[in-house]
Amino acid sequence: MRSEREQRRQDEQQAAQRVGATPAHPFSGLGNAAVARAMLARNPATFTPQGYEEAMAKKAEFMDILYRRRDYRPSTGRGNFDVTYDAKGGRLVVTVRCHFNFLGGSESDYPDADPEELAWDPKASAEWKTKFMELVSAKWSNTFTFHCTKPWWEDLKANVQIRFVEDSKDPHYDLNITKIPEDEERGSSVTAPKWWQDKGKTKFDSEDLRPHDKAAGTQRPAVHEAGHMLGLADEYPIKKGKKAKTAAHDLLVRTEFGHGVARKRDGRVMSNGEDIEPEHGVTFIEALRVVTMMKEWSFDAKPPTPVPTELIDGPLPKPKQDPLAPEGPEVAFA
Amino acid sequence: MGLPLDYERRVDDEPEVRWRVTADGAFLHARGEGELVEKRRFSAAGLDALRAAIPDFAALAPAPEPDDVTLEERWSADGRTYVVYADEPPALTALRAEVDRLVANR
Repeated sequence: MRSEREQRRQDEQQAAQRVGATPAHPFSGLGNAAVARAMLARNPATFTPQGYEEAMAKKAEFMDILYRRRDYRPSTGRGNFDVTYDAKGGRLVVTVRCHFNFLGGSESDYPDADPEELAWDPKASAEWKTKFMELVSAKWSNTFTFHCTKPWWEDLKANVQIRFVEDSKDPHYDLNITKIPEDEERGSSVTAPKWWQDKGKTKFDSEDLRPHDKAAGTQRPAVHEAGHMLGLADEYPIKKGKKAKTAAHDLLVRTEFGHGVARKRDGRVMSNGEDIEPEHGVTFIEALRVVTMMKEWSFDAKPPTPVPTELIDGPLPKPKQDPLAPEGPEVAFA
Repeated sequence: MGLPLDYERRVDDEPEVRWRVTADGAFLHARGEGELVEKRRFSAAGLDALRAAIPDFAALAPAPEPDDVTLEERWSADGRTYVVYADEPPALTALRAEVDRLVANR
């Protein structure tokens, strides 16, 4: 009887070794062991207690550094901003330096306007400047949080904070703001800097901070144009008769999300509305990867990697009672 | 360069504003798809100054069309048209100032 049981036990152990699974027993953390074994198979040098210690030491070094990059230009060919990643604070700060240039309106555009409707007064221009920086900074901030996917670094985050600030000496953009009569509308645009230029330029008007009715929504033009200053392209359809083109951030979106950018009129901020979608964070995650020199960042949080222990590949703990003992197991009665 | 002088600003391929100065001194203006309506009549001296300010559009360096065109401004005279996308040539800035001056009657 005993020899049959012994034989069966040996057969089970051999079978388990052949498939690489940990034999089940009541005290082992089988789930963790299975995960760790899979990781070991993938990268035997890393997923060990020693690998864990090394990763944690590198993480401590990583967190001691403030990562900065001036004048970052996204691969979209648009956008120009500074990036700072503060690992301890979990923040990615994106700063756009703006030089404000207030221009009088054109009488030929508005021949019925009174002269004062086409001229800035110092109070109005100061107010526009402050409101613009507050509006677009608040609208684009706290919208994206990126998560580190490196094993055991999963608690690292990057909450994106956007700051539009005034800097007349070394701006990323010259903002030309034309005075137009109240409740009128005028087209606005952003021209990205070419690679040899220090700064881009924009055309705004005095009414760009209030909502405008669009074909498929309502939008404050300043919020949309700020998206261009941050590296995004238009998402509404292109000019009639022109060859269909994908948006400049299409490739980044495709890489991150597995789908492209739809070119249609809807409520998205780079189309006709103000909805900021996860896809609009692609230039920031690209900047984060560049500034930290680390590619393991994602829009989605990854579950923490189990911490390896010596138990994982060590000997199994001895059962308290030997199921193959000649006598039956002791049973405690209440 | 002679008159008439035409100007049109288009936003997302839709007309936003148009105006024309005719050879007899009428300044016609329209918003969007609206009809041109006479808003001013310039003096002979004003028209002479305007003619002198119109550059030879063919001599201006053509502006490259950007990937995403949001705004375009079209200046036309003598059957020639110059399109501004981002950077306005100084000669056109001066021309606009001259038209503005006449419209404002300064």
